[in-house]
Amino acid sequence: LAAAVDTLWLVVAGSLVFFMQAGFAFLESGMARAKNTVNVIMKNYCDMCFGAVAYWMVGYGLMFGSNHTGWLGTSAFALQGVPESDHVAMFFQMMFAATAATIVSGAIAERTRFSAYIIGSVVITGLIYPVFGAWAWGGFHGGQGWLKQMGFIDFAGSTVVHSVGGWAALAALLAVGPRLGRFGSDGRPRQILGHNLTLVALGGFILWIGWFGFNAGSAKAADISLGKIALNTHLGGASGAIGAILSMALVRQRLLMTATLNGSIAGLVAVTAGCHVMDPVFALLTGAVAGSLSVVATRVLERRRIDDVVGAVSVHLVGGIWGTLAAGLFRSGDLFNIHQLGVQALGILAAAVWGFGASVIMYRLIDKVMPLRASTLDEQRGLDFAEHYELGYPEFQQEAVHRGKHRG
Amino acid sequence: VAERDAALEAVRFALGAYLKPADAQQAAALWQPVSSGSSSLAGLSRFCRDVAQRFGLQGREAELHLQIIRALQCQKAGGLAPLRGASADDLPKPRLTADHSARTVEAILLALQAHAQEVLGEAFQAMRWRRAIADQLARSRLPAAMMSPALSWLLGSEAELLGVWPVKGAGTHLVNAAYVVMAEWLGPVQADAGLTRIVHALERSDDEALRSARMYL
Repeated sequence: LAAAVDTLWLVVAGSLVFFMQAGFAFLESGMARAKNTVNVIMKNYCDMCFGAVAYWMVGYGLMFGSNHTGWLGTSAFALQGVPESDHVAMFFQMMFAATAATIVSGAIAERTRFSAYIIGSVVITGLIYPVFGAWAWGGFHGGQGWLKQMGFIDFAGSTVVHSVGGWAALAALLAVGPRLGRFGSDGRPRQILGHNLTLVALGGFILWIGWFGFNAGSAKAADISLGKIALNTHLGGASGAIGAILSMALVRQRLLMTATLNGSIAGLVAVTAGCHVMDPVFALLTGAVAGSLSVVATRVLERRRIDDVVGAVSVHLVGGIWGTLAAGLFRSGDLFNIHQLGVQALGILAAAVWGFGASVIMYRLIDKVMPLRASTLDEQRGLDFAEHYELGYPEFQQEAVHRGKHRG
Repeated sequence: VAERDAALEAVRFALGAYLKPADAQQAAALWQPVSSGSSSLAGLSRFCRDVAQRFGLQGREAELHLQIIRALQCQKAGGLAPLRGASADDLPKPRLTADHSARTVEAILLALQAHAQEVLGEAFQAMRWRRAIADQLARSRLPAAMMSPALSWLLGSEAELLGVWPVKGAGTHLVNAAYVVMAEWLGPVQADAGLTRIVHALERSDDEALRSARMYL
């Protein structure tokens, strides 16, 4: 019965993580202009579909297959004919892989070609994410990843999922460049408002709900520890929003809803690494710092002329790095352990070198084969029409200028 | 008098690429009426020097000189006939004419320029604007054969955009080049709003050709 309940819990938790894709789709499409809504949703939808197949065929084996070197899994590719318990593990992990990949889509929204994006997404789910995952979590089928052997703490993936996705997003941002006119010739950022903040808020709520499955599902069993994990997750998100609000107030910035939402997501990202080992007060602190950092990081990126549409880097990368350090600092009963902090920092560094390095190479290669960047004409018309021949809101866009081929 | 007015108009047009309309008008007023029997270009060098000094165009006198000559030639070109006695190679290439597509594209581009000028006010420089579009065109997929008439018009050698500018082809690319420059100068939100407004205005135009402006987006 216990095995059945555990399996049921993992299926439910995996489904909650899957639901996070809807959260990402709403949040990202709401932050984009109306003419790119369909494109953003298609990217979120399809990276999950293509990524699922890639992860089943290659990714899972690389990540959780027999890993005697500590670097890579070498079995369990295209998994079949295995014990029943393996199926649910793979189902749950597949949703994580999709989350890592989808982080990129919001960052480079509104100017990236769909086909190039999907190829990148498949490589992330099939190779980049699983390789780092093998180091930190590997060994379901024998052996252990080298970071895992060193005692690296990353319970549900602040680094494994979010930082790796964040590094890939940063590499993609550098490869694709900012949206047309996002920065003036003097370098000043110009605000490009999202078309539907209600959708953004709905996406934020869905992500938050999904996070309970993300973190509590990582316990892999329906046991007593779930309460603490869920509580810490919630506190991380709540204090993340508060941290962001306080930071905005401190620098006398207007209290933006988008920044508040991003603050809570940064808090959720940060608490993900150590929610199973932290006392609630430290989960609260971890989230609050992450929320503040997300506000600061957004400004820093803008100053460097990096156009991150949804703030994916400041939320997932910065939040993930801080959360991984916090897991080492605030471990219950072993606070501020310098050795543990060193291991955490090493894990962060490894993620940076691999996640960023591999992504830079990947996006450069993709760009050589097919342009990563949409043409200026497609950017003018909007990617909904240019790439998918559809409009997000046809009734309201009857008189829209950017109909391109509809009337041509 | 008619010849002098025509020359003044050409000078104003050439100066318009460098100066704001009011300044171009003021500068053109410095153009001295030609004395009978002398060339219409007499005194042009001195005029260019004067204008350059008064309107901050020092170092660009030669360029100004050339643009004015081109504008004058262009104005006379209405009656231009193949040179008699010239060899086949020396014959000018068949002159392009402006059809309704060229008029529509030109109207869109001029409206975009006016919109940018309205938003930027004093900071707007027509020549920089047109050069930026020319630079953008060089990076675009505009067919090579259409590059020349586009540049001739943008840089002031031709008073009007000549040639045929089809929808989904050269016409669309030229409008897009102007949109890119507008997005870079004003920001994408302003560019979208401006383009929308311009297209709506052209669609209400009395000129039937201009009502097809939306097709060029």
